[in-house]
Amino acid sequence: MEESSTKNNYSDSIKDKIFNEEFMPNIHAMYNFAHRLTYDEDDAKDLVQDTFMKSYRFINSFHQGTNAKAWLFRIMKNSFINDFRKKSKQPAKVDYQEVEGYYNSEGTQKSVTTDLRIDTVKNLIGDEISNALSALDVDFRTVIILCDLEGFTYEEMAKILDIPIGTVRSRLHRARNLLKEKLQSYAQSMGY
Amino acid sequence: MSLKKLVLEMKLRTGMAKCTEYLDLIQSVVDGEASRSQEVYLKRHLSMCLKCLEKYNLDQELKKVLQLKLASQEVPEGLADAIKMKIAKSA
Repeated sequence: MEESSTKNNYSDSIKDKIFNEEFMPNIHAMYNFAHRLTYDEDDAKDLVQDTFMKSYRFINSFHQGTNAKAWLFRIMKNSFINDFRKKSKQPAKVDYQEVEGYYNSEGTQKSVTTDLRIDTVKNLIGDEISNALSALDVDFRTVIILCDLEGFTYEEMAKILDIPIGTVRSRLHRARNLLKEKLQSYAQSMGY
Repeated sequence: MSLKKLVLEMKLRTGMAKCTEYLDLIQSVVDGEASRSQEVYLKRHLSMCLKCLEKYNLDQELKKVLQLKLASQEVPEGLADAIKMKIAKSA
């Protein structure tokens, strides 16, 4: 991803130009990604700051004019996994590698039947969707955020997440099925 | 292209694929990742299969709802300046 073994040697003025013109315009998307990972305003702020500090420190690995947003998201994802997730007291909810192994195996890509109907989806309000999304394991939540909210391609997601495109597809498939199950049980509890 | 993918491609092209074999295609089309010909294969199948059409419509609606109804957080005031200040200090 816009990163290669050949490093640049930008002058300070070029560094500042890249930072201000290519990195900083992504602060809104970065903050929203951070908030959807941490669900805490202070943690989100720390994560954004940390990501931008790292982006400046490693700016010579970035190639001017390439996909800055994807590059920053990759740094943020790694910072979250390496630093923030370790602090979390939450136990791991899902062994997603195992799940992906199952879904990647031949002939097992199947539709999970939920009774979720299109009218129910149309009638859901933002809070209900937000609750269902936040209830997903962070790895499943992340692919939905990257694909549906941030509009990254499968190829970009593969690079951000350091996983093969096939795994992006299967993780996304699984994430959406889980989200549908959450929305369906939520809709049922609300008497929809 | 692997033999498995080649066989699937032929099945999709000739309309001989089973519903479960259209699942990946539904996802690709919903996410804008499908080729023009893949879109044609799926559209042809959807015109004949209500179950897959419902799944396609549901997936498309879910994506739309996520984009439209999830609230976007405003960046806290001062965050951008604080970052720039930290960078200036570290440089």
